Amino acid sequence: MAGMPSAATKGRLRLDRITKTFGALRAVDGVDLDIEAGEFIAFLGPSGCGKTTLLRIIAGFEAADSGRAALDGRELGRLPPNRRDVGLVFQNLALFPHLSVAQNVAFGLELRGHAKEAIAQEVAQALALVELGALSGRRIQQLSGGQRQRVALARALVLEPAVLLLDEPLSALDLKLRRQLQQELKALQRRTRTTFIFVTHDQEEALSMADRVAVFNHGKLEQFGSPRDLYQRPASRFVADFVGEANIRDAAQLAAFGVRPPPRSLLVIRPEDCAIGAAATSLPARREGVIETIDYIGPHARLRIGLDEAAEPWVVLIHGGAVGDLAPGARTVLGFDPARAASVPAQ
Amino acid sequence: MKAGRVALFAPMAMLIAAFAVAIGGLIWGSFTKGGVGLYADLLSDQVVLRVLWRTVWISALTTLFCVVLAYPLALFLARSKHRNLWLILVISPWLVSIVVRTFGWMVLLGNRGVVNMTLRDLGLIDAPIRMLFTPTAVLIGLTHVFLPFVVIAILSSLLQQDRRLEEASRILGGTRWQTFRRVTLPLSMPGVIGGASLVLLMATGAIVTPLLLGGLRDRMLGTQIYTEIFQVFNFERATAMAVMLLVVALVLVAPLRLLEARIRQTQEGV
Ligand SMILES: Nc1ncnc2c1ncn2[C@@H]1O[C@H](COP(=O)(O)OP(=O)(O)O)[C@@H](O)[C@H]1O
Ligand SMILES: [Mg+2]
Repeated sequence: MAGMPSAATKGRLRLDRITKTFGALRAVDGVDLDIEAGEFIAFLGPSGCGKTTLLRIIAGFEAADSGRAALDGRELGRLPPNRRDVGLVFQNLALFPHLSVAQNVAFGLELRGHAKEAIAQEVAQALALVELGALSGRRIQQLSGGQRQRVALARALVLEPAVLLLDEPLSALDLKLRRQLQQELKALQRRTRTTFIFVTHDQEEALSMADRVAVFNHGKLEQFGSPRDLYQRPASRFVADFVGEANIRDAAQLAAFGVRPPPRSLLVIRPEDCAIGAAATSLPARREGVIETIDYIGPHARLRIGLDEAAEPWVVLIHGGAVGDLAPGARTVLGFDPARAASVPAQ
Repeated sequence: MKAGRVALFAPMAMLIAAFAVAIGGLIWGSFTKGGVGLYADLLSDQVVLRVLWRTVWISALTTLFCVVLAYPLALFLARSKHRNLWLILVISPWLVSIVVRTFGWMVLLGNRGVVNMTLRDLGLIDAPIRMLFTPTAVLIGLTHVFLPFVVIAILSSLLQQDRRLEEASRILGGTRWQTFRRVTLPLSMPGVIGGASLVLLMATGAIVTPLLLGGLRDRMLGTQIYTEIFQVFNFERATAMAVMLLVVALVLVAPLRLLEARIRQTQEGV
């Protein structure tokens, strides 16, 4: 890892109409992406939406049926995985069980024919980077889940790949360790200035870590943008629903509020943009409803408010102290500001 | 539940007990009736020593050939989409009695056998090459008989391997060959050693193949014991030889087992 670049000099990835089918299933469907050098990108989407398949196409383990991929201007085409300058942290890590921690990290360097002393030094640096220096002689079986994670990272990063692909690397860990490793990954990415493509089905993880998030559904790219963009300006109903919580309402449902969404559109009203009771009286769109449930989440309270029997209840997020003496069953006024709501196409 | 378990294990326990009594009795008898002198006689008998040595090197070479031939086969099977079909082909010889299979080799290797006739018809030889009733014939026969065991041992080891490990090697810059050398092969060693141990044990004790293909001159321990019992009726001597066979087999297999234990220790739990 000698001479770590201070600004990203490599790692610009362009995907051009990448498509991959398995039989009748379109696992990846015409995906265009332009990723800048040194970006931290998250691929977000529900399980089975094609994230792993797209990653494997970038890595060279699967051939796309059509479309092109280029890394720093170099066509990836049919290049075998070993000649792509791409790193990959597997979902199950795939650490070599017959090798020690240091030997795992040295693996790629040895294949490149580096000198023994140089390898020892690079391995030591990489292990120090992930704070595993003391464990270099251990066997993989002797490590905890978090430590294995770090070995996998060091093994990939020591080769200074142009792009590092990470396939749900944290999904097997418990929440606390997960949070900690999220921080470390983020710091590691900033320090190495390597382009990271981080796959996850956890929207919170994607939003908190990535510079830009690509949201996938059924093999299609739904939206590619900053976490803020995705949240505030979702491009589709799917994104609005998948990223954060939302009350998504059509013209018929909004009529009672006296609100009319743009033609053939739905309004996306975030729970925190809603208010109840006295706080709602100043808002332009209001209706009376019945509180169905109240859940306290830390300092906040999450309420479900039914406007009439048939329709889906509204989700409202307010400060816990603002609930007052309201209880489930009580009637209250629900209000929101349509100007703050995003709109998405109604299919 | 308890009774069910007893019922399950009772037949096995009876078999084991019967074997223990019978074998223990034989070994005991070989020492009491024949005495240590019997063993001293055997170990100073040039014929027996030659048989012993032949048993060792034929078994070792058979094992080597089996592993070398079985590995590529197992690798091919592990990667094949039609694995089960190929697997049936590999184990189909088991449907045919070992005697019949060995006769097949006699037909092929004899002085007037298929190989010699073909070579003569091609004008490559004038006089037949002596193949049947030589150690070479025994080697070929044993390798043929034991090959499927090794294929299956290696195949199961290969199939247990996580394919992602090979991909990890590839993405770390490994060529196909480097990946095989550094990942696939070392991780399949338990299968190789298991298969090799099996063949080694079976080869040292082989009777039918050495008898039919090796003839009466180039005997192995198994055939020698067979002769002592059914032609000379010298049970004490046969038993002493059986004990020798046991010792030889253990001595040959022990290093393999040690190696396997070491590999298991380093690879366990992942
Ligand atoms: N080798 C394969 N053969 C057939 N179907 C596959 C294969 N790999 C993935 N799929 C299918 O493609 C879809 C996308 O899978 P995947 O890329 O693993 O999704 P994700 O990683 O987003 O959960 C799934 O429906 C999956 O069953
Ligand atoms: Mg996946």
